[in-house]
Amino acid sequence: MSVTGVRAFRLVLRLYPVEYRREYGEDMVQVFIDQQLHDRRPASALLLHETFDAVRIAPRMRLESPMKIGWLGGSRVQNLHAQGRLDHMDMCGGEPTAWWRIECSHCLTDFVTWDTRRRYCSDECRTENKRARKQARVAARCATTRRADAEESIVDSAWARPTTTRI
Amino acid sequence: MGRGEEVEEFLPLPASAMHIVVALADGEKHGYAILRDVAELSDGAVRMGSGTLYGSIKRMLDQGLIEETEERPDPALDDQRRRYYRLTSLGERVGAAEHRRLTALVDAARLRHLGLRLGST
Repeated sequence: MSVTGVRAFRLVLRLYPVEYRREYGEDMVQVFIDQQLHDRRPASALLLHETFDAVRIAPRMRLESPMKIGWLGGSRVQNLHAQGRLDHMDMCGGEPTAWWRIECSHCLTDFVTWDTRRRYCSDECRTENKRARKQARVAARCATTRRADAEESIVDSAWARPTTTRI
Repeated sequence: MGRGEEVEEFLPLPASAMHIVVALADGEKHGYAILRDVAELSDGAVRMGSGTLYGSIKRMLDQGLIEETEERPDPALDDQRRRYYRLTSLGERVGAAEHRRLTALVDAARLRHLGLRLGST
């Protein structure tokens, strides 16, 4: 068994999505070792075969993987289906043809969509973000006003008459 | 939904999935045993990569066509690191339906002497 071959194969595995590697990476390494030991195939030929396989398979897995990640996995997509928000997605034979993982501009979690223009994972996030932006604008305006008021008060105090006390 | 309709949803089965179904038809196997079986059954014509194998296994697990098994078929030869898979009843029905579909296709091709014509060129 070639240790260098196994190391090189671990590098090839990096082409696959991380969640897939976590689930099946060690099994794939074990299969690679078994093939070297029992089939007596040279590590270089095996590695070439596996690299071609990875180049062919991994991009599709990466496209499909957003549907499987964390709390945004299949259930999330099903929820979006149930809410009727994915009615207009790109479908082919009952399957979505392209899915994208996008970071929500508000809560910074990843969400799954076919629409690359979407910025928020939910209506709540969009509303919250709008409210937050409005608050920030108001706060900035208030800060400007306060600063102007403060500067004005400094100017006023400089020009203010000295207080007089009747004796 | 009837059982027939449930099975029809999975057809046509991808070639790699059908190879795995055939390999698992005579009992549970681990990844390397499936690869070896597929190569043997096809006289070495089909050599799956491990990415294709585990990609198909993952999809078939999600679809409920196969399942991971806890029992080890042969404790003496067992390696704890390996995961064994077996067909579910749905997987068996889908495999049988795909077999019927492919047989019908091959029969139709034979009726039109497709093999002979292509073989003569």
